Amino acid sequence: MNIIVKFLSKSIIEKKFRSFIIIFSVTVSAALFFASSGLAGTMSSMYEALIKMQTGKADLIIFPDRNSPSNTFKIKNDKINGVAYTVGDLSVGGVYKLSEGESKISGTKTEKLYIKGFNLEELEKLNPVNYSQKAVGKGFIDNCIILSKLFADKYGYKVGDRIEIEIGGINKILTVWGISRPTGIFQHSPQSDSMMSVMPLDTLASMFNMRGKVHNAYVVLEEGSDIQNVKNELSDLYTRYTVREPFTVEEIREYMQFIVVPLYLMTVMVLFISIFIIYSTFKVITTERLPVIGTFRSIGATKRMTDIVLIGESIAYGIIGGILGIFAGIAVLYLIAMIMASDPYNGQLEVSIKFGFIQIITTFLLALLVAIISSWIPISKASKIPIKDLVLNQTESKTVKKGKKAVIVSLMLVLSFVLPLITPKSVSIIINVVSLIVTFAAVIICVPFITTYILKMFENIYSFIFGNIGYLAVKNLKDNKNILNNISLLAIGISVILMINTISYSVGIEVLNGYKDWKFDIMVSLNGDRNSEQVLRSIDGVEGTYGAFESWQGIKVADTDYSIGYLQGIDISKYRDYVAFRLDGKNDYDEIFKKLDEGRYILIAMMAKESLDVKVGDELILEMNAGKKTYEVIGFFDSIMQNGSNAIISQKYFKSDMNQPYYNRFFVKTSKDPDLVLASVKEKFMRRGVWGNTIRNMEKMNYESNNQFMIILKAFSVLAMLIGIFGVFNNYMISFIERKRTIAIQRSVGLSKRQTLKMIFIEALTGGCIGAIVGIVGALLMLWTVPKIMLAIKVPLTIHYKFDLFVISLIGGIIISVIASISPALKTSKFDIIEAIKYE
Amino acid sequence: MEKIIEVAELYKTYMLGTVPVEILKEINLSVDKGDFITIMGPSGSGKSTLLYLIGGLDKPTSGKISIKGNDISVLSDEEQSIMRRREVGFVFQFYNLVPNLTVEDNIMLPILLDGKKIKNYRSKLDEILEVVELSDRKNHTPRELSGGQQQRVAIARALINEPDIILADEPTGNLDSKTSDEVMKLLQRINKDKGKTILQVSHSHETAKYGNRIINVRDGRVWE
Repeated sequence: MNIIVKFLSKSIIEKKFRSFIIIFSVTVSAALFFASSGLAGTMSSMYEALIKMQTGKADLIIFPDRNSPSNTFKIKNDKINGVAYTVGDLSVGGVYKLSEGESKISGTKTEKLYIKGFNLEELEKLNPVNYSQKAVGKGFIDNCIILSKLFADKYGYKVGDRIEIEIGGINKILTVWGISRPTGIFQHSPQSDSMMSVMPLDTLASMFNMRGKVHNAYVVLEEGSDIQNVKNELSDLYTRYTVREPFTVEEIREYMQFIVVPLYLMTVMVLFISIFIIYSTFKVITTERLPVIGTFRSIGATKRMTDIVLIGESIAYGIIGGILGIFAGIAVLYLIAMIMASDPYNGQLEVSIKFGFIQIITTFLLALLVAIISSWIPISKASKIPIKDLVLNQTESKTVKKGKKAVIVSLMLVLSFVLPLITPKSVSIIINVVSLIVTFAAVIICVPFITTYILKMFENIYSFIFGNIGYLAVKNLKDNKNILNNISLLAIGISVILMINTISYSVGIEVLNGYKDWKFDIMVSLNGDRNSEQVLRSIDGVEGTYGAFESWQGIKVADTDYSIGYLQGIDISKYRDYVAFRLDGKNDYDEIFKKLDEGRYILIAMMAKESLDVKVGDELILEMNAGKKTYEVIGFFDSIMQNGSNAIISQKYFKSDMNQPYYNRFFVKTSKDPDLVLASVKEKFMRRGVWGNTIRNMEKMNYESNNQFMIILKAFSVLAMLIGIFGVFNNYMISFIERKRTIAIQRSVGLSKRQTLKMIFIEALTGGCIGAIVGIVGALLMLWTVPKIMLAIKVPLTIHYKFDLFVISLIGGIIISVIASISPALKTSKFDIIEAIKYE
Repeated sequence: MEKIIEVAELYKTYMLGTVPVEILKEINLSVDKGDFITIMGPSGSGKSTLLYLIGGLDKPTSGKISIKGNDISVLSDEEQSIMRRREVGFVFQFYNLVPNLTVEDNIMLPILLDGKKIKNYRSKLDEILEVVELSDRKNHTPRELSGGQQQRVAIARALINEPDIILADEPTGNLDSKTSDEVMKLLQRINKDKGKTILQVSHSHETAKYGNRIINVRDGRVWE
């Protein structure tokens, strides 16, 4: 047994590049699996930490929703079993006016502040303040304020200083009572334009005449109490308010699906490549070892012992790759978490990764499994060869009949195309992912057929272009397993990288198109009437305005589990001047819009149409603020706003059914620099809590948000390609060893060194070209399924194809293949012909 | 008689690890056109090395080898390759056919490498296939042929470009006696009917009798 272990370790160390490729493949697969499986948990804990910063120890929060009679409420003193204590807050906006000197430095005249009113004792219990400075001997009452250290440092305030802040339109002189480090509720996100501050609850309540009332209530439960029971009881008590956990893991996990599903998909692709590389490498390993196995067997080693030699080698690779994969996985997970931490919409998350023992074990087992499964077929084939054949080196491998393969591939392709069409929505994610993988596998199995057909086409062309050497090169490519492996590896790598880049490009185009639909420059959120619109129009640089009625809260469609994410009540006379509206079909726009105003009619975005499965004339019951209202579908339009979950009704009915008499948003066209106009708008409506952004900036933020996860996916695809490239290099070296004799034969009958180089170059060029073509076909087939997966994870996407990407893939494939062939080509042209030719 | 091969003061030394080993020493030899020479000698005597040096597969350490009056030891790789295509035809013990090419393609290999049009050699191919009695096997691959058939393909390949010299390294070394006899008769016919000069390396006196001259190589030297 010792000799077997010795032989095993020697063979791993001897073939360094080959061992490296196998270990690298296993490591990357394991690392990506580790990162993919740990991402949901990690992001959940990161979001949990972010939310906990705001809500402290609260187990439940109570806040008003659109059905609430008011945006404030009183905390009821009824005894609820399980509730330890309840803390309430008031939230208002404040404006700090900068001195002229400060203004010049920062380029802005004001600094916005969030001001939260808390009873300090309660706040300390709920979410302790981390003071860097604090008043001594003075109670936190009257006109006191706790500033964030970031703010205090920026403007030079310390405890005891007086500060003038405009709150609710009135300038107040406040005394700095404390300065908090930027943690807890003082946590500041770089994406936010306001810094947090805290004032006594009573002071704010009296300023706004809201004594005894709060905007939010934070409920901390007694240990061991049943959260669901308490939630139910509180919901009964605060009937018209929302009672819920600050966050639920399910919500975050669902939110994270848009990244986790694609990551798993990429992991599967990488697994595919790894299995393929390990499988093909082990075929070479077993072939190489056959004479040694024969010798071992002839001197008395049992079949089990020789099997252990080979299986032991794959287990060794699995163990090493598994251990490295776990460490690499931790690093990858941390990297992904770091990239995802900068959320342009939800703020900066604290980077911390979360994984458990089970995840470590699963990853390790996966690595082991990948190594064993990939090597099993070649090993079991070798194991079945009789000793006599081993000793006499009479080993011929049987190949699966081409007809049988064709049937399997056809079945796989049909399945992958038909399944998504007939799959119920409930299982569509898994079926579409399976369909994509099956498509991918079918393309790889097809490589020999495709290669044969393409080579047939090339035969005459090559003879014409490259002469007889071209003809010979084509002949050499036929049935050359290493070249076929290279084509497969290139095809896998290119299809994955092309798919990801096309998705990334499509997302970019969709975002761009989405913003192109907006024919205005600034979006302003402001509750206002026609007078407000007049004021807005009077601002210098404002060319035109459109008052919008919008709901982004999700209007539930009764009897379905679908909510319309974005509902607009439009002014039919002006809407199309501000938004590019594309109606589906050959409908008359004016007629449809006219009808919209005549009753409870609704236009639905195409994506929503698919999800709701409705047609013109169907009725939808919407759960609106004024109760359930029935709308008749009169048409469909093309829009990706809110991921396609949007609908349009008439302004008239929006006002009445949503109980919303005023505009809540304005679309502004400008004649001057939108940023300058926006600054003027903000200044003008400073006291009214205005929010606004330029379309240019919104587009940038959206692009950045999408870009974050596209970077991760691209990194995964690059890794897939990298393993593929290593595989290609390895195959060329194997090919060199295997073809040494054949080339020597050709050299003996007159093949010159120059011709050898030319022939190998043509072979590499052709291999790369075919690999890229198959890769492109694979990518196109997979991209057919991708929109369905995206739709299943609620991110509808139209695929846009970029010609350049396809050309780059083709050229890239050829370059990789040619570069990989340089070293073997040089070696081939230099080896000793006699040495290679003389011995069988 | 016209001298087709001339070897003068030929030395060949190999490095065995760090030790130089003199394989051939002071070889002087001349071959007349139309000769059928058998080079004999014990294993490791240098007979195959001599054949490969004459065929331009290896370069001498010193000395001169002339084929039809041209010194091949000074030729570039490109020129040597052309010489191998046009002036000599090789036949090896293990046939050395390209396994993924058909019989036809294997035979046509020197033509292909010479950049000539295959279609101009179709009738020549048929003629040679008839000589080697493999007309019905031209679309088969080597693995579908017996050893004797494979060796006949190798002979056909050596003849296709009509070289004046055929170099055979133990052409029957891997064949049974009956097939050996057939192959040797074929070579003899080629020598007599086509006037080809043949140099074969062999251990066997049985095969040597098909030739007209025997050269012995022992300890790196030639004895006749």
